[in-house]
Parts: sequence; structure tokens; C-alpha cells
Amino acid sequence: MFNINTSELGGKNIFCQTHNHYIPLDPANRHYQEVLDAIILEGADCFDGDIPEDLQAAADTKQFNQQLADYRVATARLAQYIVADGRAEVREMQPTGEQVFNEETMEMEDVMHEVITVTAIEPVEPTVTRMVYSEDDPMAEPVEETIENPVITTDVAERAEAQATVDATPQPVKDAA
Amino acid sequence: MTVTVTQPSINVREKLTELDKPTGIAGEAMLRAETPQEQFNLINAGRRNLIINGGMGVAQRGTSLTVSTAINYIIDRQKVTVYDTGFTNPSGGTTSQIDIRGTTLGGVPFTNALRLTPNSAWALTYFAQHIEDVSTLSDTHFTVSVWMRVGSGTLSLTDDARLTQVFGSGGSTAVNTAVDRRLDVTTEWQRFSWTLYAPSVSGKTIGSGSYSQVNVLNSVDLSSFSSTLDITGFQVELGKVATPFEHRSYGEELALCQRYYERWTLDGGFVGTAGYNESTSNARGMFPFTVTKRTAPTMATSGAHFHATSTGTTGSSVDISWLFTTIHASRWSVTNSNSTLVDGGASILGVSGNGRWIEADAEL
Repeated sequence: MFNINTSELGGKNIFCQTHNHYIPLDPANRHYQEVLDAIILEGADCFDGDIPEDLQAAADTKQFNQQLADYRVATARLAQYIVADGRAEVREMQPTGEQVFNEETMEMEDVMHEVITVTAIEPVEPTVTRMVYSEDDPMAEPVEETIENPVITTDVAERAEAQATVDATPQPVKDAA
Repeated sequence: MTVTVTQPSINVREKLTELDKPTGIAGEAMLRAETPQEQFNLINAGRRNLIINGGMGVAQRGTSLTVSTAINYIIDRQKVTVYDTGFTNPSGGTTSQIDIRGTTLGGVPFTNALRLTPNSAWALTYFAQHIEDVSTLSDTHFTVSVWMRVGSGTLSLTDDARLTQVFGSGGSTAVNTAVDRRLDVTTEWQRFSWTLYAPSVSGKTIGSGSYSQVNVLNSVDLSSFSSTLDITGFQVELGKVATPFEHRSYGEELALCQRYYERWTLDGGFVGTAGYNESTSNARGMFPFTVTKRTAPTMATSGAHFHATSTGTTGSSVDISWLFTTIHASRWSVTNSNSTLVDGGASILGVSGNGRWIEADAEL
């Protein structure tokens, strides 16, 4: 539990009743950052009395920046191709840097050529087969087992986690990304 | 009469190479160096170790700590983080400073080591130091070296060696860099080293309190490890080569540590700071720090063990309130219940009992 400690000269710090700490209002102080984390996590429950406006604003800014960073990481993860589907090749016409004179338009025109801008990647095998050995009977013949490709399993889990982050991100944070 | 003597010309350079000089490869390299900077680099001169207190000699907080929270400091600047399963706070196990005087490792005598004594709650164990200012390691290779041993058996570390660049309050998102490794720590002291590349911080937003976290242990499961792990000679240096551990005197290391944490350990008597009486029940003064702090520190004390003494009268023992703190000093206030102070008079801050302390914590 925290409260604000004010001196008669106007100096302020945060008193942490749990640890008997006097914490300066200084962003470079690690305990001050822990106070902001507590406000983000617990809200007014962690404070004895009202949270001062400047402290609440600092906590809000920290939370906003954390959410923005998480959102950017998540959207970058979702932008990666799905390994089960593979990736299609993308080609586009780009200027070679040379120009020729077009007698019909009487203007110089770029010489274009086709460039692969995104290379194709084949989808991974949907399943893999592995041999399972009996722990009880070392002499027993191994049994063949077919399971989902672990690469796909990992990809699906990471994408789901990233999508959950995106879904939980407030709109103002998305707008700032 | 004038006599003209003629001598054949000689090639001084050739003559010098013919000399039978007792110089080895290193000596030749030194002679071939074209600038003082090259010579400086050849002999690894100057301050190399970016780690403070890598020899584990300074332990202002005490010599042993029973772990009850995630982040633990017992030896100055050496951060031991422990989580139980599910990133909950652990309970039990200790981090301590041990005496290893008489131990010479790689030609360097050591006095102390950090000892980790885990228990079944140490599911995720980290050991690192935060190097102030993230730009200290930027766009450069650096080499980490450390001496380790275990009390019995062998501990295989398969965690990745990691650098985390933390850009401070309001700064860019932290950047992690890691390399895979496998270390087999045995009962004999061994020196382990690895090299990492620190990405450039150019273009990043660097806020206050930025640092580079260099991990020796990174997410290591010690919950089933029933022995001790000792660590000393922690060194981080620029370049791809681990050079011998750089020794610094205790006084130097203490002063370096006190930029981040300072503890005044006090036995009955006076703290060493004076003030004035705001009233018959309240005295105030300044508590100056021995070393200027990295940032305004968090102030704490051992409890209600302090009093103001004024013209022969002594107030009741209470805790100190800290009114305002800068990187240089903190303003203290002591309020007595027995109102025995002389209003407007001078006071000195006293302490009752032994083993009391005042601490200023500006650790990263």
C-alpha cells in the first residue's frame, strides 16, 4: 500500500507502507516504476487515498506504451505467413533504371522488367510420423504414430497468442500504432 | 692537413633485424605497432571490465539472504531473480557471499564468490547485472566470462546466454540478443566465456534509467538441483576475447557500488549528521550520501531506532521520515512523542541499539 508523503517545503515522495520505503518521484528510480506497475495492475486498491493526478497520468502513459509495444510485436507476428499454407510468389514490374524514347508519345519512358518481390515458400507437411517406444517393455517393437507437424502447432499457438493481444488492445493504442 | 675518411653505407633496418633480441611474438607485435593506441590494445591496458563488483567482494546488505521475493540483491550489483512455477514469488533457498580467500583462478587471487543455494521453488533462476546506460554496449561484440563451480555433481546449463537492451522510462521496446550454449559446471572451478553482438542503439529512443542486462543464468530450473552453485570473476569486456579478470581494490569497487546502493550500518551512537529542531517534538536535517547516486534513491531504515539529541535531551526512538531526496542527499525528519527538544535549537541524529541501518537504493 502506498501513500504520498509531502514536506512543508512542497517536496513529495511516495511512502510504501509494506516495505517502509520512501520512493522519490523519479522515473529513473526502479521502485517508482514498480509503483506505476502497481497502479496499472491494481488501480486505486494499491493506494491509501486518491492517486495523485500526475502519478495516474504517468501510469497511464506507461501502460499505453507497453500496450503499443505489445501490439506492434503481435501485428508483426500475424503478418508472417502461415506455415501450413505456405507463401505465394509475388511479382511486380519495376523500372530497370534505363530509359528509351517513345516515338509515339515523344517522351522518354522507363524500361520495365519483372521482379520477384516475395519468394514462394512451400507449405510444410501437415503431419509427421514418429516412432514411439514402449517405456514398459524395451524389447517391444516401436509403434508408428502420426501427429500434427510441430512447426504448425507452434505457429498456430503463436498466432493465437498474437491475435489475443491484438483483440485486447484498446482502440486508441491501435490508432497510434 | 685534412684527412678524409670514407665508410661504406649500412642499412640500419637490416642491422636491427640481425640483432639477437629476446623478443617473442608478442614483443614483435608491440614493436610493429604504429600507434600508441595499437600498443594499448595489444596489452589490454585500461579499464576493461564493465561489470562492477565482479569479484563479489562488496556486500553492503549483509552476507546471506533467504529468498522470499523475485528480485534479490545480497552482493552489491549482482541481481538474482527467482520465480516459482508460474512466475510466482519463491519461498526459501538462499543467496550469500562466501569467503574463498586462498583461491587463485587463472592466476588471479579471489576473495569472495556468490553462492546460490536453491530449493524446490527455484523453477526459474536468473543471474545478471544491469550495466548503466544502454549505449555502453552498442554495435559491438563483447565477451562475458565467469568462474563457476557446484558443491557436488554436475550442473548442465542449456539456457541461452542473453543480452537485454532496456531503453528506460519512455524509451524504445527492449531488444533481446541470445546465443545457445551448453555449460557443464562441475565441482572444480572452471572459467566459462561466450561472445555476443550488441545491436546498435542508433535510432532508438533512450529514456532515463536505461541499461544493458547481461545474464549469466537465464531461466535456469534449479528446483531439482540439490547442491550449491558458486560464481565469481564476472567480467564483461569489449571484443571477442576473454582476458584475465581485472582486479580492482575493495575501495574502488565499494565506491562504484555506492553509486547504486549505499548502506550505513550503525551501532548505538550517532549517525553522523546534524539538524535543527522544528519544534519541541520534531527535528530535521540533511543526510548526505557518501557517493552521488545514479538517480534519486529510495530511502529505507531498519525501523524505529532513531532519535534526535538536543542540548542534553534525547527524544524517544522512532523511525525516520524522509521528506525529500536528491542524488546528493535526503532530508530527514524525526518526531518524538516526549517533546523534549529545544524549539529552534540544533540536533544531532542518534541511533539506539546495534546493527541498525539506513539505506539509499538507486539500483537499476
